[in-house]
This record gives sequence, C-alpha cells and structure tokens, in this order.
Amino acid sequence: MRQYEKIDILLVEDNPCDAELSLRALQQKKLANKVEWIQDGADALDFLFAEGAYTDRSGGEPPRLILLDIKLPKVSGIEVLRRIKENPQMRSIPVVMLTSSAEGQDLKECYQLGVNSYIVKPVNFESFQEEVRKAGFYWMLVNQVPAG
Amino acid sequence: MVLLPDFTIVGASDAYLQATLTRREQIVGHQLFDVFPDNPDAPNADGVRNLRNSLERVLASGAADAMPLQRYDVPHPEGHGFAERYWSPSNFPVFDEQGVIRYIMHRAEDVTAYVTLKKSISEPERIDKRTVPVCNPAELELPTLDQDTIASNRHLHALNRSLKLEILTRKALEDTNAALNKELKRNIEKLEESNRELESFSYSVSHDLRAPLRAIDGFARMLEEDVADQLDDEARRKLDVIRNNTRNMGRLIDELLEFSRLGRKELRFGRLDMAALARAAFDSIVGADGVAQPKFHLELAGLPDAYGDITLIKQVWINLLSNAVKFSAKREQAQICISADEVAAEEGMLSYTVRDNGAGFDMRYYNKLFGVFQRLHRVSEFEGTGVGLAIVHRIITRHGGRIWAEAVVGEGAVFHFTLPRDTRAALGDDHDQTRSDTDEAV
Repeated sequence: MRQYEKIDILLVEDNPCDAELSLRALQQKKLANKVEWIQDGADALDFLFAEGAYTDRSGGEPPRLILLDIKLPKVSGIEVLRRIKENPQMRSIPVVMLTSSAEGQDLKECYQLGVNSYIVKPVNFESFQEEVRKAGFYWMLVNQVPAG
Repeated sequence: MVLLPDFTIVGASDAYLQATLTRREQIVGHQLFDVFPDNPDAPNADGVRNLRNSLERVLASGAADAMPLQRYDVPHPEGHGFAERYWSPSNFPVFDEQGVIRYIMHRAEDVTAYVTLKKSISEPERIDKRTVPVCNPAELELPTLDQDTIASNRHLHALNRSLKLEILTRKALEDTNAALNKELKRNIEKLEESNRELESFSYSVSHDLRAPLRAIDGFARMLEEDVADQLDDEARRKLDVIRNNTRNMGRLIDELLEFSRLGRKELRFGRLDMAALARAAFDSIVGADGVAQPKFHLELAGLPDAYGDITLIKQVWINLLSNAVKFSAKREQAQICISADEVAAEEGMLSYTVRDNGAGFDMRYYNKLFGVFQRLHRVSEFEGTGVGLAIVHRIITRHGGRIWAEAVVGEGAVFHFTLPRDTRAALGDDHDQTRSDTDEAV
C-alpha cells in the first residue's frame, strides 16, 4: 500500500513543460515540497474522491489548494471543478484555474461553478512564474478557509 | 361622362352620378376640376394632376388614354369632407367630320371595393402566407354597366387582361421571393456554421499556440538561470533572441485573436461623444495633460456625436491615434489634428479625420494598408504587428462606414472614416451581423 503524506497543492496539468514551470515557481517560494502532480481530469477526480488507482487514499486529507488546467485529457478542468464544487466536503478547497486563454465562455462558466480564481498563463516566463507564485502564496498562506 | 375640350362637363350617365355622389344639374356646365378638386385632407393627392395630364394627352395625340389605378376622393354631397375613392379611369376622344376633337368621353370605374378588399386581405397575411389575394367578382359589387360604347368595353377587356397579367407576374415574383428567402436561410445557416468553426478555431489557436511558446520562453530562461556561470555573452545574446521572438509571436497571436473577436462581437449601438472619446484615447496614449510627452500637440475641433458601439469606436480612436503618435514621434514637434467634415460623408453619415505630420507612407502600397499583418515600415524604424489598421477597418466597415487615407512620405498621413449619424443610418446593421462592405444603410 502506497503511503500518502498530507498534500498541500494538487496540480492538474497535462502539459509536462507547463507543469515543470509551475513546479519550479512553487519550489522557489518553498511551496512545492507537498505538491501532487496529476496529468488528466479523470485521474484528478480519482485522486480527490479516492477512487480507481487512488482507493487507498480513502480517509486521507484533501489538498489545501487545487491548481487546475482547463484543457485536460479525458475529463475537462471545468467538469473537475463542477464535481469539486458540488461536493460538500470538497467545496471549500480553493480552486485556481490555470489556462492558456481568457475565453469569455470559460471564464463565465468557471465563475458560475464557484471557482476561486482564474489565471491566464502568460507566455512570458517571468510573468508566468510570478502568477503561479502569487496564487500559491495567497491561497496557501494568506487566505483563511473554514476548519475541517 | 362627356367633356368639352376645355374640360367643361356637358353630360353624364346615371351610373357616373351615382358613383361620384353628384346630381346632374350640379355638375353639367361646370368645369371638371371645380366640381372634383383634390381632397385637401389626403396627403399627396394627385388626382387632379394625373387626370389633367391624361386629358391633355388625349387632346394632343387624339388617342384613347387609360390611367393606372388612381385614388381620387369625391366631395360628400352634404358639403363636409371627402369620401375615399379609387378609380380605373380612361378617356376617349370624339371627333367631328373635320377630324377635330369635339368631346372627350371620360369613363371611371369605381374600384374602391376591390382596393379595400385587397388591402384587408394582403396586409395582415402578406409576410406569412405570400398568397395572391384572389378576387371574387361577386364581392366587388361592380356597378351595372349601362349603354357603354363598344370601344369602352374593349378597353375594359384590355384593362382586365393587364390586371390578370399583373397578378400572374406578382405570383411569379412571390414564388421567386420564396425561393430567394429559402436560399437566404440556407446561407445564413452556412454562415452560422462557419462562424462556429471560426470560434472553435480561434479558441484552439489561443490554447494550442501559446503553450509551446511558453515552454520555449520558460526553458530558455531556466537554461539562463541554471547555467548562468557557463554562458558567455554570445550565448546569452542568442538566448535573448529566442526569448524576444517568443514574446513577439505571443503578441501576434494575441492581436490576431483580438482581431477575430472584434469581428464577431455583437454591436451595441448608442450615441457617442466623439470628441470625448478621441481626447480620452489621446491622453491614454501620451499620458494625461501631455505632461509625459510635451512635444505632442493635439488639435481637436468640436466633433459631432456619432452613433455606434462604444467599445469598438474607442478602439478605433486608440489605434488611429497610436499610429499618429508612433509615426510622428521622431518629429521635434508632433502635430496631430482631429476634425469632422460633414460634407464629405454620404447621406446619414458623418466623416472624421485624423491628420499627423509624421513619417507618412508610400501611396504605392496603399492596397496593403488595411490588411492583417501588413506593414509599410521596417520593424527597425517603427515597431508593430500590422493588425491595428486591419482592426480599425473591420470595425468601421461593420458600422456601415468607410475608411480611407492619404499620405506623403516624410510629411504625414491623413485618415478619414465615416460613421452613422443616428439610428436610422445604422438601422440596417442593428440586427444583422452578416452585412458586407457594399451594403447601403437603409
């Protein structure tokens, strides 16, 4: 049986380059030692709800922050967001969408589902790092969520 | 009814008197147009003019003259107001033995019942059913014919034939109309389909093209950070070139998407304070009060309000004034002048002009001026992606306006554009996103 330590950040990102850039940004702020990186929407749901390959996570604590790409294989980021916000135990976990473009329809849908923040990934490296760092910092250290 | 060549009435049939609500002693011996003047309450009454013209044609040509359907109201016998009447009149010359016209026979069939019936049938149903009103002779209450001449009967038959022909033509037109409408509907569906494709195309462009760029820029930067001590100046320069180009491409993608988004945006028309919009755009470009860059002089005459979508027209001012500022930035004193010229525009439109004393452009390449990604200057002289004017052109065209320009290299450029003056001029585009450059405002 695999051992799962307490996860701080769940990063759901199918593009390994983007994932590496995000992890590096979080690392530099010392936010990355407890990041779980998952590469598609179906896996993300299994992880969160302790199903499929992650049944042994049952009873484990949920992550404190979810960074979620919109365009994901199998199950889209918007669908993952919907499932999280529909679930009473998961609803209070901050979810930050990370996406390549500010499409009006996505933005609207995410906010209707109750997303906490919506970040357009900049092409520029420094800006991208800055956005990821800011999101990690704010939601991990500044923001207060209801206990348990 | 019989007239003298000077239009004095000399006699009339009972049917004529009945149809015109007159008595014989009241009209015989009187001038035709004294007895039957135009109804002063009917707008554009043209009965007197048309009947006079017809009678004069008979006198001039010696030939019978049939008038088209004519509204010609008759005075109420009680002396107050007029009764609405429609007629199918015709006039015939009567010659003496010398061949001189002695009399004019005037025949007018009262078709008021037919016109009223036609109106009541066609008005409410015209759009939906496209049916030709069927005319049932029993409902027309035609007056019984008295002793009409054979000539007049023949004439009536001819009128009947032409009426039938008109109905057939109209039916054919309506069939064509229905076919065209069907075709139009198909085209609209096709257009909507291609719009959806375009939308999903720009969506995937925005996602898919940016991700590799981010990786190129990010990994070049990580290389720079991680092995900084092993890089010489030349290696760093090459990494810089890579990163500058990824940034440029990012900007191109952003602007292309903006161009496509503005083209699809639904127009929301409203009244626009053009002077305020131009001033705000200029201030946002050079910094308020011109403090930041005192060498830019804006001359802004009073501009008339236009009618358009405020978000899009703001963008027009920003793009045009950014160009004016950019291309005159190398002047010691940059002069930018905004004015309006109501005379130069078409009916219902207003024309605005932006003039600068900047670098201008070569009129030989004018046909490229408003194209996407088309540039008339080297990047080393003036930076830019070549999308700004394409966006302006698209916005103005979607408003039903025009844009054109003149320039002299080294002396400056002048841009003119037109916008609707009010709702009426813009109405054609209010609900119609498919309108092309050549359409005229309704």
